[in-house]
Amino acid sequence: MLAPMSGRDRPSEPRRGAGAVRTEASREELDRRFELEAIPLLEDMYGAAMRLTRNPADAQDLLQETYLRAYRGFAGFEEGTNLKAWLHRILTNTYINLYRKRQREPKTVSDDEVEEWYLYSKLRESDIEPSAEAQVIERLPDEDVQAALASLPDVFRMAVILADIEGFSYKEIAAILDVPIGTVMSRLHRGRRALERALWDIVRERRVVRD
Amino acid sequence: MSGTECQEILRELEVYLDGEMPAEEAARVEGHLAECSPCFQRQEFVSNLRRIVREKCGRVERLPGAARERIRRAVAAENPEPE
Repeated sequence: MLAPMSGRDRPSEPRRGAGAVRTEASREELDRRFELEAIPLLEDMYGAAMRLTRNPADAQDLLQETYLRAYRGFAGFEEGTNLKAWLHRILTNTYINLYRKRQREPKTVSDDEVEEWYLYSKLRESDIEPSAEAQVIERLPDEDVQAALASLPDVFRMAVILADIEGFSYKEIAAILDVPIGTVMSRLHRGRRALERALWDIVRERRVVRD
Repeated sequence: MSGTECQEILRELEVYLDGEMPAEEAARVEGHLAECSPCFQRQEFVSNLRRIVREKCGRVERLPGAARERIRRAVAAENPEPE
C-alpha cells in the first residue's frame, strides 16, 4: 500500500477552505462537470495507474489520490483543453511524489551501451526467418513484454508509456511531465532502446532464437 | 540509394513514426521508404514492434466496482453538502 503523503507533498492545486473563491453556484457547476467528464475516465486512468504501479492495490490508491487532487484542483482545469492529459499530469506527479523515497537518481542507459537498431540487428543475426523479426516479439507472452517495459528506469518508462501506449504527442507529454520537448524526445529515444535491449534479453532467456 | 541518405532517413524514422514530422519532410521520408527496401523493412519492424508493445502492455484494466465506489465516496467526502 502507498504511504500517506505529508503536507509538503501536496500539490499547489487550490483546495476548499482557506482562500477558496468558488461560489456555491460555480461549485455545483464544477461538480456537475467533474461527474460528467472526469468520472467516466476512471477506467482509463486505472489502466494508466496499473501500468505505473503494476499491482491493483497500489493502482487503486494512486487512482484515488489522483482523483482527490483532480477534484480539488478542478477549478484550475481549463474547459475545452485535454482533460485526459490533465489527469495524466496529476497521476504522474502523484506517482512521483508517493514513490519519491524509493526513487533513486535514474539509472541512465548509457548511449554507448545500446547501439541503434539493437533488437533488429540481433534478430537479423539470429536463426529466424527473414522478415519474421517482429513475430518473435509477438509470440512472447504479454507478461514478458510487460516485464521488459517495467525494467526501464522510471523517467524512460513514463515517456515510453505516454507515447507508445497512451498515444500522447511530444507536446502533451512535455506538459504532463513538465519538461521541454527536447527532453521528451531524448527520453523516448533512450527508453525505446532500453526496451529493445530488455526484450532481447528475454528472447534469449526464453531461447526463442539461437544467436 | 546513397548510404548517407539511408542514414539520414533512419535517424529521422522515430520522429516520422511518432507523427511529429512536418508534412513536407514526412513526404520525403515516405518517398525514400517507397524505393529503399532495407529502410522500409526497418520501418516495418519498428512500427510492428510498437504495435506489439501497445497491444501487450496496453490492456484495458477493469476497475473493480468496490474500488470505484470507494473513490467516488472519497471525492464526495471532499465536498459535503452544505447544511
